[in-house]
Amino acid sequence: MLRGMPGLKGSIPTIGAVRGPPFILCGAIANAEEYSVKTVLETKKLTKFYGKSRGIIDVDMEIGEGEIFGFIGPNGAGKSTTIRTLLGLIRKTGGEARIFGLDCEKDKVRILAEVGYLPSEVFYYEGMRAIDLLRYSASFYRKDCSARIRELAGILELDLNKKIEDMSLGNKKKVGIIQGLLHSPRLIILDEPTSGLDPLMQRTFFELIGRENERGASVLFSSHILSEVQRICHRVAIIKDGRIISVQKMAELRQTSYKKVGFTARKPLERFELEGASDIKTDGPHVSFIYRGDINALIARLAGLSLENLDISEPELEEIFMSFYSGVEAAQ
Amino acid sequence: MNVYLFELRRAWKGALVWAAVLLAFLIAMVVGIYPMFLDSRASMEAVIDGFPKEFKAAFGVFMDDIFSFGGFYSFCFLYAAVMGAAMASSLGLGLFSREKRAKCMDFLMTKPASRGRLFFAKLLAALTLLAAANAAYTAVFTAMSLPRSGGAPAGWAVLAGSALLFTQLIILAASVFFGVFLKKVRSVAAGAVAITMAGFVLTALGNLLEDRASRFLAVYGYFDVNLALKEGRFDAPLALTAAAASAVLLAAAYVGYCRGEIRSV
Repeated sequence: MLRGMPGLKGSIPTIGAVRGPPFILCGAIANAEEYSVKTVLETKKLTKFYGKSRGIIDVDMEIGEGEIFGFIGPNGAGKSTTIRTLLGLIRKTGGEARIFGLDCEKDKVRILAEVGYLPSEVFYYEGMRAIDLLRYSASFYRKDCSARIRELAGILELDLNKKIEDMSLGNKKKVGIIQGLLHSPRLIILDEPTSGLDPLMQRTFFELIGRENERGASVLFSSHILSEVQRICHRVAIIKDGRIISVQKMAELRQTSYKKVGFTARKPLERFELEGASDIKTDGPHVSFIYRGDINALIARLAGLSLENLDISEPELEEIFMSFYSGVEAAQ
Repeated sequence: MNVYLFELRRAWKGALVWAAVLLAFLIAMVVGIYPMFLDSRASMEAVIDGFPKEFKAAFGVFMDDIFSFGGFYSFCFLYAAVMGAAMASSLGLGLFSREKRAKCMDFLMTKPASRGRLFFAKLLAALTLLAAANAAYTAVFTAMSLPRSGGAPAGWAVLAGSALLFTQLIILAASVFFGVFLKKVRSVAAGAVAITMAGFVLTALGNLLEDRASRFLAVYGYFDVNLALKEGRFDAPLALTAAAASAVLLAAAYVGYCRGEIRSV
């Protein structure tokens, strides 16, 4: 029997211990050394076509219990399609999708009882106050959510008695956050959640998600803003053109084998090549690239050049991400 | 239950207004117009005789029986049916396009409730409001028709009064169908007027064409109130057609609601 899910008889498959980095939530340190031993969400060859148009193709994904899983890719890559298929809003064309060991289409109702969803844009009924909308939302769950609504409204500093249509975009988003979390879900699905939130509220939001994670909730965090993903996620899947091109731990993605290299040669270079170098930009004597590989090979290659300046630093996740993309395109 | 109550709370005011309009119309016609109509029978006959035959057919004026209570109410019923249709289509379209119009399909469809349950909760709310409005309408109609319909049994009067509900059910089914399948519903009022007027045009066409088959076009004439008051029955093939059409429309809407894809807005 699943914890917190009375009536659920599906068992959670085990995927083994996953060691994640301790992650920093705006100053609050969440200990995520051992964040996952069981699979909460799993897709196998999940495919969705809209007629002949590509949605997602053969998406394989596993999210462990207590894990914050990032899902990044540019607009149109298939992030929202994946999420909407998982939530049963659209029907898969092929493959398999399971949450809590249950089928996302057949057992949708049982799954949704333990899932909180925050879409990128929030829309609600006209003429309703926030409190009325939240009470209506809470009425779908077999628990008293009123204390939780008040608690979340306090954290987010939201006036619940205001009509939603009179609220700013940011406050509407706060209503969305509360309605996604009011039933203390075991899986939180966030689709580009921070749009419309000011930086201070983004910080509060990430702290809130961190607390939910500490409580035991798993999180699927979709975004095209890498710094957001970098901020809270344990692992990240990179999706492009409907296909997952890589799943990595955040620590691996940022580990020292990735280097951002820039140098200025004494003489302009026509071209520069090095195995493991990607996203190479040459502008006369100035060369920059992202390097992944044996550091000694890099030093040996640079030693063969006459340099005026050299800078080797840790790349931003954005740069690693672009490197990934250009690498995949080159391979294709 | 929560969706049912939510929909009732959102829709009861509109339904109450329509119920009041229908009752006011009924009372005005039966208590106010009918006695005057009888008093000036000779001049009314002359006026009506002057109308072209097609005009009379289109607007439900049938001379052979219009001065009996049943015939008069039959004439009035066309307009009561138009108003009733406006009420039913507002309800059906309003309830089943509510999330589409507010762009909050995601909100409702990610709640732990099956789409079938949501569909029936909304439908039940619409039916409850129609039933409540018609309970009042039928009671008032029955009370007014008993002393005027030449000793027709109360049951027959109730049957004639309930013709409005049965007519509304066909329109409700059609508007639920459109509410589910239309990709965008910008205005419930405009959509309801379109459905209501389509019903009126079909009815006028069905009355104009005199063959039996054309009567199946006359949506607002499926339940003949005069026949109900005279013989205590409706025309069975027409009533069955209405029931079958409603069932097919609702079944299609149910399947569409349960299996439809909710795309991003």
